[in-house]
This record gives sequence, C-alpha cells and structure tokens, in this order.
Amino acid sequence: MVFSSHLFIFYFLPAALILYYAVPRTCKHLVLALLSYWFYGWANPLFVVLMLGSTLVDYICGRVIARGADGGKTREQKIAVTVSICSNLCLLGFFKYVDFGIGSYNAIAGAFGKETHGLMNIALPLGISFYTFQSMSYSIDIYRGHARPIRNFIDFACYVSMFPQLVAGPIIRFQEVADQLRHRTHTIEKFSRGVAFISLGLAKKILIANPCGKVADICFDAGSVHTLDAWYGVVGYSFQIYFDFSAYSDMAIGLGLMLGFVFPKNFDSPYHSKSITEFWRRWHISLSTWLRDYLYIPLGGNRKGNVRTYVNLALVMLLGGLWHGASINFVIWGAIHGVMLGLERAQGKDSPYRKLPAAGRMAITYVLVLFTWVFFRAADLSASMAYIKSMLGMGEANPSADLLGGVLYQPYYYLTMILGAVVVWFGPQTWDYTRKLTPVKAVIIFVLFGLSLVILTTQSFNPFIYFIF
Amino acid sequence: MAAPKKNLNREEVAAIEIGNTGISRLLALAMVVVFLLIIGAIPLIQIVVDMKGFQGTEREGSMPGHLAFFKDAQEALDKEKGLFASNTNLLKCIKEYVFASNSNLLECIEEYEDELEDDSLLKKELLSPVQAFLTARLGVGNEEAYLGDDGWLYYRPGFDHVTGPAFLDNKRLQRIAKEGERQPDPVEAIVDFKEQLESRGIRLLVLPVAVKPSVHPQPLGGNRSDRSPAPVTENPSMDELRATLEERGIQYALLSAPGYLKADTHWKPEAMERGAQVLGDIVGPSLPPRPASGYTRGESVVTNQGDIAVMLQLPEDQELFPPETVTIHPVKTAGGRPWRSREDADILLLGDSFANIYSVTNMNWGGQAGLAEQLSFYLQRPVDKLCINNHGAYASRELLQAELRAGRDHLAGKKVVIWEFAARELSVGNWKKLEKKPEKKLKKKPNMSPGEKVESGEAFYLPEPGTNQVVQAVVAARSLVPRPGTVPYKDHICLLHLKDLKDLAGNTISGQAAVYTWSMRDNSTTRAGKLKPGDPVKLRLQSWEDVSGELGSINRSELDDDAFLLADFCWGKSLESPVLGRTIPFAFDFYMLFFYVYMLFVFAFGLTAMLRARAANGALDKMNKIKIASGSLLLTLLCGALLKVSAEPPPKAAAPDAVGLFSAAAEKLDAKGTSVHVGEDGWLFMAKELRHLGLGEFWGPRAADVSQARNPANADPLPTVLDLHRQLKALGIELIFMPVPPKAAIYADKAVGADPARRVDVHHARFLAMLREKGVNVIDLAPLFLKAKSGGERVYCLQDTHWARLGMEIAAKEVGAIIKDRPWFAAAKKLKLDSRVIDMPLQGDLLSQLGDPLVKPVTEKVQNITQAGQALKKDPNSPILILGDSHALFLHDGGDMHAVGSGFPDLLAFELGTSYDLIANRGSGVGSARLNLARAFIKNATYRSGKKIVIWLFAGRDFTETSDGTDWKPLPMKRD
Repeated sequence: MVFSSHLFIFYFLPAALILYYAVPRTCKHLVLALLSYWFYGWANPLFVVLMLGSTLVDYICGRVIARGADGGKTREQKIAVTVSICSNLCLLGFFKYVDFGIGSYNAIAGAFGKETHGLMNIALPLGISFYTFQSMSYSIDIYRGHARPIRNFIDFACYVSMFPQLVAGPIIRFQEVADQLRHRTHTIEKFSRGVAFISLGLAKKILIANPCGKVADICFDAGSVHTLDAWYGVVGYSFQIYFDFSAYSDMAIGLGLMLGFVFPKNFDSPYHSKSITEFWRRWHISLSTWLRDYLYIPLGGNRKGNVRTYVNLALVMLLGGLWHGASINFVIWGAIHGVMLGLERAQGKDSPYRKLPAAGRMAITYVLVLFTWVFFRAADLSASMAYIKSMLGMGEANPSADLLGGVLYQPYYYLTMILGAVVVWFGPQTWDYTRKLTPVKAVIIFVLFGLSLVILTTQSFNPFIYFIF
Repeated sequence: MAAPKKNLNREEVAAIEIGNTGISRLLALAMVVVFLLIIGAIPLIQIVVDMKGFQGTEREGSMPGHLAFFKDAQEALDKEKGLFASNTNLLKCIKEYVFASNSNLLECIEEYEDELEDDSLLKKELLSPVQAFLTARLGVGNEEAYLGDDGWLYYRPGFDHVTGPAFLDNKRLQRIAKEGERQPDPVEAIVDFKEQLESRGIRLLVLPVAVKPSVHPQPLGGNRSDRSPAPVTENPSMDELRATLEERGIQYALLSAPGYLKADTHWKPEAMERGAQVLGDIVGPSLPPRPASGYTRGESVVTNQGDIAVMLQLPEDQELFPPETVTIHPVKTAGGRPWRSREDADILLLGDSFANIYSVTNMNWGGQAGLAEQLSFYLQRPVDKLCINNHGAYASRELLQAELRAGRDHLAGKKVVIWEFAARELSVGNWKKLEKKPEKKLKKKPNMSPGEKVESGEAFYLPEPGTNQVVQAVVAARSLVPRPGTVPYKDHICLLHLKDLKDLAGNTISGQAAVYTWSMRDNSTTRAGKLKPGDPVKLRLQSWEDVSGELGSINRSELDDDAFLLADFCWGKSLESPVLGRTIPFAFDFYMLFFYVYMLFVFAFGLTAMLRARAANGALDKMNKIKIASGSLLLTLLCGALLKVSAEPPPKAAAPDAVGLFSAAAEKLDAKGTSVHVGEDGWLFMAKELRHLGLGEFWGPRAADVSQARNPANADPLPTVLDLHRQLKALGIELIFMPVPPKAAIYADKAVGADPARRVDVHHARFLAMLREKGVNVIDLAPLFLKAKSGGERVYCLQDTHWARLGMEIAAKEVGAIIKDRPWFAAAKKLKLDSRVIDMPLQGDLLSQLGDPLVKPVTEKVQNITQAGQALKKDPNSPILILGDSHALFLHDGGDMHAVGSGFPDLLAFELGTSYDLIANRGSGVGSARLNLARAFIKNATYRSGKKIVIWLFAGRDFTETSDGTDWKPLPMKRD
C-alpha cells in the first residue's frame, strides 16, 4: 500500500485514525501493531510471517539481554545480542544478497570456465532493509545500556512494524522512540502539523517527484541520448529521488505526529551541501547516523589511526551502497562516496574546492552527486558508463535519440523541473515551513493537498523509489 | 524556537521542534477538521452513491468489491484446499498450500485495489477534465500516450521501442530473461516457428510493421530546430535482426510505408494497401498459378476517433484530437459477397491489429478492407487469416495452435505463412516458443448434447447454431481482464466458466458452460469484467461459431485450465442480472452507521480539543461550554440531516423495483412470443418498450450488452449524439435532442402496476442529464407528460404506439419556446394557419397487431392544421428541420399514419406560425433517418447551409431496440 494511493488516503488512513483514537490508551499499541501488519501484509501476506518471526527473535533476545547483570556483560547477554544481529543479517543476506552472490560467482566462474549455478529468484520482502536495522538497533541499544527493554511484546511489535515508517524509513532507532512508546501526548497542534507534513509530502511526490521521474525514465531508458538530454535526465532523477524520498519521510513524520509520535528529521536540504561530507550530514540522516553509530564507531571510527579511519570510511560507504541493493552499481555508488569522504577527511573534512565561493562549492558538490546518481539509476554498469559518456559529450547518439526531445521538452516538464529547482535551492524545508502555521499557510497547504489529489487521478501506480531497497 | 543544546540527540531536537509549533488552537482545529472531512467524506460519499446504485439492479461501482473482498479472500484460501486431498506428504501439502493461497490472495488484493481506483467517483469526475487541461495547456499525455506536434499522438511502447536500447543486445536479453516474466529473444521464437513450418513444407515470411515514431518522427523532433530527424529511424537491432533471419533462411520484410493516422497507433488505408502490394510482390511469384478469383474493390468513407486519443481519456466532446476520416476499399468476391477468410487458401496471414484494422468492424474503422483483403485483391487469390489484436509476438501463433487443437488445421495446404506483427513487439513482446505439436490433435464434437460427459468432466452446454438461449448461472471462474487505458485496444473479451445453469423458468440445464463475453468496451470494464466466482449472472447464449467471424479478432483472454481446450464455446450477451445474493441491506446500514459514527468522531474530536484549549486558557465559562456544545450538536445534526437527504431517493425517482417489473413483464411476453402487452383499462403497449425499460443503463460499456444493434460497435448512443451535436455545431446548426418517452414509462401504472406518481425511466433522465452537461440542448418530455396525464386527455393513444394530440402539443410548445428565442427566427417567413380539434376513430397499430376482435377501436382527439384549407407541406427552404421516425409522421403522413395535417410537424408549424422541413421515416429514427440526413447534407451543401436548427425526435425505446444496421453508428454530416 502506497501513501500516495487512493486506497491509503481515503480508506486505510481514515479507518486507522478512527480505530486508533476510538480505543483506550492501553489498546493503542495493539491496534497500531495490527494495522501495521495489515498494511504490510497488503504488499504480500506471507511477508507478515517473516516480520513476525524476526520481531519475536529480537524480542526474546532483548528479554535475555535485559536479564543480565548490571555490571559487565554476561555470556548469555553476549549470545543473545549475537543471535539478534546474526538473525537480522541472515534475513537480510538471504533475501537481498543470495542471488547477487550467485550471480557474481557465476560471472567469475564463467570467466574461468567453471560450472555456474542457477539463481534462486528470491522475492525481496518490502522494507526488510529498514525493519531489520530497526530491530538490530533495539538489541544493540539494550545491550549497550542506551535504552531500557520493552516488557510487552505488543509494544515491541508496534515499534518494529509501525506503518508510517515501516516500508521506507526513516530508520527509527529504538533509543529514539523508547520513551514515546511508554508515554506520548496526542495534541491537536501535533495533529495539525502532521496534516501539514502529509499534505506537503503528498504534493512533493505527486506534483514534483513523479513528473521529474518521468523525465528521468525517458532519458535513462533510452538506448542513447544527446548530451543535453543526458543532463536534463540526470537532473530530473536528482529531483525525483530527493522529492520522492523526502516526501515519504515527510508523510511518515506527519503520520507519526497524528499518532502522537515524533520522528526526527531525515533530510536537511541535501543539495545545499558544499562538500560530500556535508551531503551525508543532510541526506538520509537516519541511515547515515545508523551506519555511524552501529558500524563506523564499533569498527573503531577515527580512533585507530589514519589508515584505519579511511578503511572504516570506505567500508561503511561500500556497505551503505550495498544496503540499497544487491548490484555492482550500488557498490560503485557507495565506493565513490567513500573515496570522496576519505579525500575530504584528508583535507580536514572539507572539500578540495573549499576556497571557492559558497555557490560554486554547492554547484560542484551537486554535480558530483549527479554523477553518482547515474550509477544509482542506470540499469547496469555498462548503461551507467554509456550515460556518463553522453553527459560528457563523448558518446555517439543513435538517430532515434532525436525523438526524445519531442517528449521531454514540454511545458509540463519545464514547469515541474523549474518548480523542483526553486524548492530545492530557494524553498523552505517542510520542518521550517510548518514551524509557524498561519491561516495563509494553511490555505496554501490545503490547496497543494487538493491539487495533489486532483493530479493523482491522472497518474498510474507510482510507488516510492525506496520501496525497492 | 530556542536553539537546541549541543549534546541533544535527534529525537530531542525533533521533540523540542514539534513542541514549539506556532499555531493557534482555532487554526489547528480547523486544519484537522478540514483534513478529516476530506479524507473521510470522499470515500463515504462514494460508498453511499455506490450503494444506492447497487440497491437497484445496478452492479456498477466498487461496492461489491468492498463487500466481497473478505469473501473473495476466503475463497482464495479455500481454492487450494484440494491439495491436501491429492497429496500424502503433509509438509509438502502445507508448503504448496501456503504459496498457492498467498498467490491467490495477492491477485485478489491487486484486483480489489484496481477496482477501487477505477470506480472512484473522484477519478471518474476529474480524470477527463484534468487530463484535457494537462494535454491542451501543458503539452503532456499520460502513461501510454505521448504528444507530438500538430495533433500527432504516439503510443508509448512504440516510442520506447524506437528510442530504447538494441533489443538484441545480449546483456539486455539476459537481464529480462532473468526477471522471468517473458522470453525476450525474437530470433529464438522465429527460428523455432520456421522449423515447425518447414517440417510441413511451408515457407515463413516475417513481416514486422514499423511503428509510428519510426515512420513519422518529425512531429516528435519538432521542438528543436537544430536537429532534423532522419526520415525513418529504427531500433539499432533492426539490421541485425534482418541479417540473422536471412542467414537462417527466413524471409523478412519490414513494412514502413509512411501514412499513419494522426491519433491512432495504426496506418492509414493507403499505407496498408501499399504494404499489401509489397507483400504480394514478395510472396506472389513463388506461389503456384491459380485462376484469378475475381475479387473486386469498392469504396467507403469511415470516420473514427484514434485509439491513442481514446487512451488519453479526454472528455467526450474534446476537440483537441478530432475524429479522422479515411477512405477504405472493401473487397468483395466475384459474386458480390463480402470478402471472407478461406481455409483452403495457400497463404495464411497471422497478424495483429495492423492486419485487423479496416477489416474487423469492431475496431470502428470499417470492414472487409484490411491487409488480408487487400493482399487477396492484389494477388487475386484467397487468403486464410488468423489475426488477433495485440501481443503479435505470440497471440496469433497461439490462436493457430488452439485451432489445431480444436481439429481445424489451418496449415493444411499452405505454401506460405506470413507472420505480421508490430515492430514494437521486438522490444516488448513475449517471444515464447510454442510446443512443436499439440499434445493431442483433438477433434471436437460439433454439438455436444447437454449432459454428455467428456474427458475433462461435465459436458459443455452449447445452443444449436443460429439459435440462442437465455440462461441464469453462477460464475465459477473468469479469465483476466486488462485495466482500461493501459492497453492499446478499447475492447476485450473474457472467458467465463459457468455452472448451475438454469433456463428462465428455473429448469436445470445439465452441464457447464464456457462463455466468451465482453469484459471491456470503449475503455470501460463491463459488468461481466467485474464478475467474481460465486456471482449469479444472466446471459443470452449462442454458439461462439455464430459470431466468431465478427468477434474472433478481438483481443481475448483464456482460462488457464486444460479442460477448456475441449470446450464448446458460447458467446454470451449480458442481460439484467439479479442483485447479488449478499446481504446488501445490512451492509448498507452498516456503512450508513459508519458514516454517522465517523462524523460524530470528527466533531467530538473538535469539541474535545476546543474544550481542552479553553480550559487551558482558563476561559471556559458556562456560556462558552453551552456555545460549544450546542454548536457541535447542531453540526452533528446537520450532518445527520445531510446524510438522510443523500440516502433518500430523489423526488420522482424510480421505484426500486420498476426496472425489475418491466424486465419480468418483458420476459413473460418473450416467452409467449407476443409483441403487444395488454395493460390495465384497455391500454396496449409495445413489448419492445417493456424490454427496453427493463434493461436499465443503456450507454457506455453496457450498451453492447443490452442493445439490439446489429453490430455491437454501433450500440452506444452517447458518443453518437455528442458527435452529431459537435458536427452540427461546427456547421452552425443547433441540435435539439428530444426522444419521445416510451408510452409504458408514462403509463407505467397501466403497464406493470408501478407507482403512477413516480418516474420510472430514470435511466433516460440520467442519460439526458449527461447530454445536457455536455452542452447538448435536450428536451426531457417525461416530467411534462407525467404532469399532463392527470388531466382528462390522454398523452398517448390508447391502442397505438404513438403519442396523442396532447403529447405532440406539449412537445411542439417546448420546441417552439426554444426556437422563438433564437435571433434568426424573427426573419423567418410567417404563415397564417388555422386549427381545429376533432374526434377521430383510430385503429391503432397495437390493436391491429393484437388481432383480438373483442377489443374495439376507440376515438382519439386530433388537431388539424391547415393553410387556406389545405394541409401544410414540408418546405426544404425552412431553417427548421425535423428529423425523426414515425412519431414525426403520425397523423401527418396519411395511410397507416391515419391522418394528414395533424402530426407533430403541423403542430409545431402552428405554434411558430412558420414552415418546417422534415426528414423522417417509418422504422428507426436513430439509424435510417440519420443516414438520410447525412446523405442530404453531404449531397447538397446549399440545402445544409440553409438550416439553423435540427429537432431530432424518435421513440425512446430505440436507445436499445434499434436494429436497422446503421443504428448508433456515427455518421459524417459533411465530406472533407
């Protein structure tokens, strides 16, 4: 079920709000968990069993960890946290990487004339990358003593499965919502700000992300493109992925607010970044902080010398890339970012072009990010390289590439791209815009909400990009 | 907001941020209430509207989906229980059951969600106007249609094929094959097919037809002057394909003759005819000589809306993409009969819609003038043809295979097989290889009698060829139905598996039935397309062979069950279906309650929040409490009242059972085989009227199912009326649309004992309201007649089908009032006319048909209009033209029309004091009369230019009962 669908907006959401507010406080988590399982099962009923199993394992591990002595860690605790981490990683590994592993093995084996193996064609459960990370954070936080364990299984199931952010984040670490699960307030101010978040999120998705996505699709799906079209397409994709993902995050935060939860910010105007280091402080914040706290720091962070720091950085970014998907393109995407981060760290966490004016730094960082998005979007490595060649004017376009212009350069797409650019570089963020809500802003918010609903009728099924990760 | 401390974590920062939201309580409350009302009211209005429709005999809308979802889900789980009975390994059974049931559930969910969106009122109301705005102002199409310059439209898969990556690229082929959804390599399939044919000594000619973007790239590249696209662009793999196929000894020809329709996927007739010549030149020389068959060609003009324009789902009256007119050349045999595919030919053409266009009339581009026909004409020899729209990569081969399985060997005696497909299939098609030989060559019994057993179980019921049988049955399964707008064809046929067959009298018919029926018409899913297992259905069945010549080329889906390989297929025409056997009233009450509770929730939420706010401010005094409480109560009551109003039927709406009453009465008459219904107090009614009134909705997707039109493509009145309105408007002529209500609708109390005060022809009212919304000047006579019938004088003749003096007078006054208002009327020449009312004995047509000597003729009032003692004649120079059927001739044309000078034209002339012109005939006023109008307008432009207004009147029953061949076919009023 997609947030920007008829079914969710007009059926699931009203029903969920009624049920949630109709039941007494003690039953709210049960209702929320059941609604979330329904929401999740809608994508594939079998996945519910998987999530329930994963939740159960982590809950039991959490209980075991919580029983340990206050002082040093007992053997039981260590085993429990290991079981939790391993089971989550195995789950993720099996569903996401087994076929990739077989495929990679086959490529190498094939090159050496060895026997290859058939793929298992495993269906990727929706949101598995997100909820396994959340579950792991629970066990680790408890183990580290950063949070108190949950006694009630329903409360824990509610945390893992919470439908607003289940499928595409933001990744909510347990310590971030532990207190809210015990006590949270439901106020009309929260609810109304939630309305604003949802409305603006929907507008971002329907009015900007989807049309920009169309531009990107036409360019990236073409056999060959002219230089101008290639740039137009990759800028379209940069807007699509930003508005699509931040729209989902806004809607998740908005839904959370309606249910009394406060989720932290996930984006902070990433295309304003003046270096790649800054970009990662602003882009998908919940993932970068998760990787920092649960991977980079445990690996030693920057505490074990320069070489180790660079290795850690590269490793974290490679895994970060791989987290997005089992493909060599994501690995390369992560590797480029890792190298860039390493370079910048060598220069005092600043870019090699730090002496340029702010606008220039911002522009160069954006262009670098654009090149990395090519790997993120293109079908495979050779398509990525061909596209980059086209961007650099080094590719030779087929005669059929001439036709793309007739579809791409239409007022609708110009308008959307300009709107996207204005919002990216000159518009306020949703958090800032909704900080003080006036009647005029409320009218604008509802106009955008209404317009989104109207345009939604003309768009076909268009899931969020991060659904596939 | 206070600056967060440095050591705050992200959650704390967010909590502080949210805690400092600057918003007044009132504004917060308003935002919440407005939001909840939007997201709650839209679905609830939808539910109430759907339920109201559903409570009658309508089955449109998503309500059944809402109610049936849990039942369907349960069935999805139950469906696989048989696995346990057939397998002894429990663990294996459980595993298979879980995965199979999960797959069924997913299908069920997907179907439910699609249905919900497609039936959404919001979408139905907004899609067309919003798309029109986006297309006209912002230059954008939709997911399937791309816009070029100057009104050119392109189908997306064709565009993707031309601009996309090389379709024979190895990496691409591997990636798609890995996804497992289709076999992407055309070479494999073509070579395999060639080998199969070669083993029978048959040659294969592969014939891709270039898609529009490659033949007409200019309108797509027009925005950038620095680039001038090559005349023909193609996918980079095309040359490789040719070389590979030729290397394997396969003949190959790419047809890329310019001349495509602007708003349609396909080629124009001239391009197709050139293609046929090219084809003839390739295959002709290698064929054995044969005496010329004597095929001849005629000429015919066809006007139609392009399929891509239709896919844009623009408003009916859109003018962005006007219908296109082409001249086709239908081929006839030496004996003057229409061309027919011949199994004894030595050429077999397998093809898709490029071969079907101008050949299959359902595509609305005329018939007998397609690729096979032109090839036949060019070579002067018969051609065998198996063509099916879409999926050219495999559908025609599958059809050939199915024919072989059914014992019809189309390959026998063939020298060459021409395999035509749209070139886009090379990039997007499923090039699956078909098994080398059918498992068994089965010879089906031509006509199995009911009850006879076949290998697969119960026998399949099949009416005798040329006959039909109305049956009631329960749906056991339905094949897949595409979502409208996502496929390049607007019609689709699905296969229903029916069980528990009964005739109308309730007698059991043994056996099951495999029934093809319309599942999509004009890009809308039909009622049959939404049927689910367990739903009751009523259909008029006939043998599929009776209609396969006409409908066999329409894209259709099959049930994935080998038992149907042996089935005798029927064609089913949907009749009014009884309300589903589900507990609708309970469900309706439930939803009403849900609606009310929801509203209470919204206001209770607001009230609580406001009380809290006031309490927090210390401003909650007694008066404020009273104000808030009474305000909320008032709002809730108002909401309840609105709900009640919306739930109640509008005044003068049909009694819920009126349609059923007419339907039941019509069935009885059908069974008796009589054409006249004897009502109360001596009233006689035409049986066709009762049938028509028992059908309910008669336009849109249902039209083909309920209409008697000879060609289902000419069944829908809505586009035709709008088309005529648009055409006349373009010629500066106003159309007044005035169907004469069926007599049985006005005297429903006498006909079927319905409530005399209520309007029963609500579907007419809805139809006319729709036309009015689209700008057509409509006169709805029914309310006026209902009001007038309470007086002493009859509105209709007691023993005749037609209206009486009073009815005609009311109509003349209504029309007169409009005409008098027009500026040109002042200049019209005025006449001095006399009038007198007399009583006249009248032997009505119904009385004559009844043939009952005991029923005596009665006297009717007649108003005779004269000019200087003579009946007024029609004046071809009059700006007022009456177009009609016998209602325009009754009491006017003498002979069987009983009198002269006393009909509607005379009364209108008297009302206006001016002359009139008349084009009318006995029979159909919608088909034949309109055809006469078209001829008159096309032949004589001076005549046409002298007209200011056309008053189109005809019997209301002809919305469905017309059957003169022209029926509701759109006709051009002017030749370009």
